[in-house]
Amino acid sequence: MRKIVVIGDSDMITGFRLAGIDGVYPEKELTGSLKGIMSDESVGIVLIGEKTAEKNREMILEINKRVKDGPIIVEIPDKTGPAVRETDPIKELIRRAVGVEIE
Amino acid sequence: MATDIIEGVKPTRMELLKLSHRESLADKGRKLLKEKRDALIAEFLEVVKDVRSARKDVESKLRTAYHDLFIAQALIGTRTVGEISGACSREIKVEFAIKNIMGVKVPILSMEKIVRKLNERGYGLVNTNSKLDEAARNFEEALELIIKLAEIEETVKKLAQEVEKTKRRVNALEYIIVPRLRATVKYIRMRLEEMERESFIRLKHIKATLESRG
Repeated sequence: MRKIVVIGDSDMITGFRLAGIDGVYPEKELTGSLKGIMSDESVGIVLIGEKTAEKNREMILEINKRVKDGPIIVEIPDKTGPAVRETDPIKELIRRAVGVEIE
Repeated sequence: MATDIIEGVKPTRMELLKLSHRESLADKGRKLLKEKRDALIAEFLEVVKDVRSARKDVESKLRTAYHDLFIAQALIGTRTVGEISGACSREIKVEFAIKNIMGVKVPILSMEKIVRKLNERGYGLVNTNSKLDEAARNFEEALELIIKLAEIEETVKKLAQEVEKTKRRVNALEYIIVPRLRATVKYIRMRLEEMERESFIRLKHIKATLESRG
């Protein structure tokens, strides 16, 4: 059994606390908290705001590479709605795996 | 493209046997890996279909959830909502199980019911309003969808990594290792034939000299 934590802006935190999650971290403290969260084995899923993730992309990738069997990171939209990205990560995965673009 | 041969092999019969054995083994491995790759890709395409719709579900659910939250905040104040949210905490635990898809370990997530009844949320009904209840319910529903999304996304990622790895191996075998072995086997075979011809000629020559003397 593993728990869920949320990293995001204050509205995201309020919302998910209403849903009952108590492991919440404001995005400002991301640098300090992320490493601890990622290596904490009791954490199963990390919900992170898309914009927060985008700002800290390199750090997340780097930690993700180092920690084996770490929590699953899910990027979710914040209050401004889904972020528009240059490359759709899923599309990129398909392109690399299959070699062709599939809609 | 001319394929180079493995360097430093001696053109002997022993070496030829060893190499042709290795060649057939590599070829067998290549065929197996190719099958594995095709099966993985089929599986991958199957899962990828679900990813987008799962993400769409999460996005639209969160949009309503934020919307309700903002109205609740506007009605009873951001601070109050924040304080109320502090009272809602509980243990949410996700059960991780592992499913094996052709040697790829993917997670299966399951959880207890996340959506609560109104009186289970832990805040009083006096200073709150129905928008707050709706926001809470929507966030709970969103959370369920997010957990489902987490499972699918992780599966897709793991499968994609495995497909890439298998593809690289297949290509290495198909375009480098097998051709190189094949070329080396051919080289040794030709050298052996050449040596045979040489010794044949030599024998003939010796025989002729011996006869002309005698």
